[in-house]
Amino acid sequence: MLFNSLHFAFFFPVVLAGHWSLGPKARPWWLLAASVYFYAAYRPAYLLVLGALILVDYYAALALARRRGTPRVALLWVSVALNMGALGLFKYHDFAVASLGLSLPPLGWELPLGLSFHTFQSLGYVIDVYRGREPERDLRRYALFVMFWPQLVAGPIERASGLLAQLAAPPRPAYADAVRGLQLMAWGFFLKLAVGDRLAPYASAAYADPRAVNGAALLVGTVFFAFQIYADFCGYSLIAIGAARAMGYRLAVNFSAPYFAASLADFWRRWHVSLSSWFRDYLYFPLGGSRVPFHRELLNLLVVFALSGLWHGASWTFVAWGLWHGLGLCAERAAARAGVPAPPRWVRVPLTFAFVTAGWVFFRAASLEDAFIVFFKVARADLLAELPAALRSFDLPGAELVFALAGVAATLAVDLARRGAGLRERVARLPAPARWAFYYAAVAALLLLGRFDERPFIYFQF
Amino acid sequence: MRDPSSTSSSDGRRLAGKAALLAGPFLLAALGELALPPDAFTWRVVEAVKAVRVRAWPGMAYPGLRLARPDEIGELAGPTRLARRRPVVWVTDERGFRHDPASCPGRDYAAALVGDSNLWASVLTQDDLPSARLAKALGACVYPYSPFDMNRFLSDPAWARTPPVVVYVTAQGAVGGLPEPQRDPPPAPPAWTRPLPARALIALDRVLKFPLLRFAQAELTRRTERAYRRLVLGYTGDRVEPLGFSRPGRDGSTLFSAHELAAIPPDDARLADAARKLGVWSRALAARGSRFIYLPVPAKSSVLHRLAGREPDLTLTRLGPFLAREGVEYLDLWPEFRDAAARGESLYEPDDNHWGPAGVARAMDRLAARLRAGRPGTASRPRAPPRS
Repeated sequence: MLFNSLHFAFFFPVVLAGHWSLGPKARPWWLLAASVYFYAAYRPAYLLVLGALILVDYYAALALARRRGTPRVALLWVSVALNMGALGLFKYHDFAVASLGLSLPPLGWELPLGLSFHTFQSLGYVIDVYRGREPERDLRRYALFVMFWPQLVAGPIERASGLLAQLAAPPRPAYADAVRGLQLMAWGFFLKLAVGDRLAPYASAAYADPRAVNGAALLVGTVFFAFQIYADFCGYSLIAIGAARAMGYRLAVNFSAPYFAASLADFWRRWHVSLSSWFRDYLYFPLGGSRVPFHRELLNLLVVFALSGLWHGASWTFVAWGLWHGLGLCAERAAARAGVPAPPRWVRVPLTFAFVTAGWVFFRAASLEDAFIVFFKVARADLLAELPAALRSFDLPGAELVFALAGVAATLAVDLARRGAGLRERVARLPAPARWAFYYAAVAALLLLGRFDERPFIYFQF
Repeated sequence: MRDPSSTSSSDGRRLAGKAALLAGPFLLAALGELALPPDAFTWRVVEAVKAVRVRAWPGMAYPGLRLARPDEIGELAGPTRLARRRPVVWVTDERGFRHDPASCPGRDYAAALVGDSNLWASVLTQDDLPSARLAKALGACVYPYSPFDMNRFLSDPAWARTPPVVVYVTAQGAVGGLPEPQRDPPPAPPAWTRPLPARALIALDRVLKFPLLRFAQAELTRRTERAYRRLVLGYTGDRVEPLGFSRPGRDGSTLFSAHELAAIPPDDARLADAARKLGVWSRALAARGSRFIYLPVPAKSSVLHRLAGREPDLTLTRLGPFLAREGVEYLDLWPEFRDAAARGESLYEPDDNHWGPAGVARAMDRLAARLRAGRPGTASRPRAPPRS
């Protein structure tokens, strides 16, 4: 089910009202039923895949807790192999066949919704149990941990110490939480519908055939894609976090004004935090992290980011995107080690944004060849001279451009406002009539500027 | 002792109250639509009458409707300076088709026109509709079964007894993509025509269309676009330039569909396939004792090819031999439209891709003449319509 669908507009109030009305014993069952319905609304058959992985990891964790020594390692690897096997079969099989020239027939299977997210969440839990965490003995609770509907299909990727602990001692839904949750959802919907979906046609037009448009169009398309993917994914995360919060649960923060990052390392502390921290804790640290010789540290970074790229999609463009960031971080670490003085923040922020935006070229392009065409044409473009022709080539009304730019400005303004008291606190301090006027204006803005054509979230494809 | 995880009922009431306070004005605005006429928030009648989510009657429009108002825009112009306002009358029958039941009290139809939006003809007033024009030319009743295809018509139990003549009308662009004739009839269209539930369902559909919201969005876009053009491009016209999906012709005021201009004419294999499909329907109707005629509407960009800046598309001429082999009766309007356009007749509306009143009149006069003359190669006259 898409958050931006009419289906969800009926689903959410019903689930929220049920959650608030039911007693503490019935609530987990209600949430589990809602989660099953939420997932099955897309394709019921994939519940079998999800259910099988839940059972595998649940019993693997119980077995891990009972054993000592070598069998534990074997059990851990069985769980890893089964989770990665499912991911490999659905997501990477055809890519591997095509890339390695294997003489196997392509499967052409559709990726089950959210497979990359919930396998990582389950895997993180099993590794935690291997490292000494008490396993969850209640199967229903563990199933709800993996299937919790707000974060089931695109995260945030939760840890057992976060969501599972809350499910074990369910929080009491409170008015303040509900208000905060609904505020987060409203901003998330605005980001998705009024910003991300407004920017999408520009990126789509530029990247449909990079040979057919000029360098300025490709630059505009790429910069707009940078904000599109942020608004789209951050919007999704806020809706998920807000929906959970309205029911009393707190999910991990996934974004924190990433385009105000002053370095790449800072960027990855602000962008898709639940995934980058997963890779840090379950891959980078086990590889030795930064407590190894410097050349190994750099190699670790490259491996982690290449795999992070591959996690996003079975394509060399995603691997290139990961390596782009890996190489950028290696350069940052090398510069810091060599004692190169850092430029002032007002230089570092736009530089970081430019580097990240250049990386999006790999992420958005249909092939590596297309990506290099984009770089080549942008580098050779006379941007100011080409801009009018570029805007005409998008074949979109001027009003669309105005709305898109207004959405970008609003996104940046709200991120900037976080550095002070925050927009929410400022609004909360207003007298009641002004506060309500703000709320009505916010809903009206969402309704007037949003695009309600149920465009899927970008990260659903992963 | 109270369970610490149980919800405080005062919290629940407070939340429900605040949610109602926030959503209330927006819900009231949506419901307020019901107190207003159906076309209160639109520039185009078709938007006001077309059922979107609730379709409990066979036709595409709300049933039992009579509207008379200025209709601002054809499909290609949008809210631009090229849009033309004109008065239109819309009447629908109790089944939701654009047909005035008063024009045929005996419900005794000599012919049915089945086909696409060229028959629905949103920018034409009721008297200029193809069915009305043909009825006038024949002096008999004609039913417009649109915008639907032959499969739908043949599966409609209300037309189990087909009229003596069935004319299938499609845009020229649809020739290469006609639907596959269905051996097993598709599900019959809904036939819920009792007035009270129909009125309730119309009300529900109107609310679900969010007309006030859509109108406000469109107004905001229109005003922003105008400001953008004025400030950024220095354009000071009172309207704005053509939309993305339309292209101005060489005269600067006749619009063409970008999709149509980019379309590639169907090859011989597709024409043979189209003829095969039409042959299936022709034989099905012959088995019911009805005569079948295929009438494709020549493409605007082909008839006005000089204005469109392209070569004429000869698809309709190439289609003839394929249809003849299948025994399908065919009315090719292309030569007549080409000659009339060369004489300066305005067969198409400048801001719409469908035929205009003059094009409809010319086509229906030609069709009536064919029907009066009988089948080509025979001396028979059309049969009198059965009396109900």
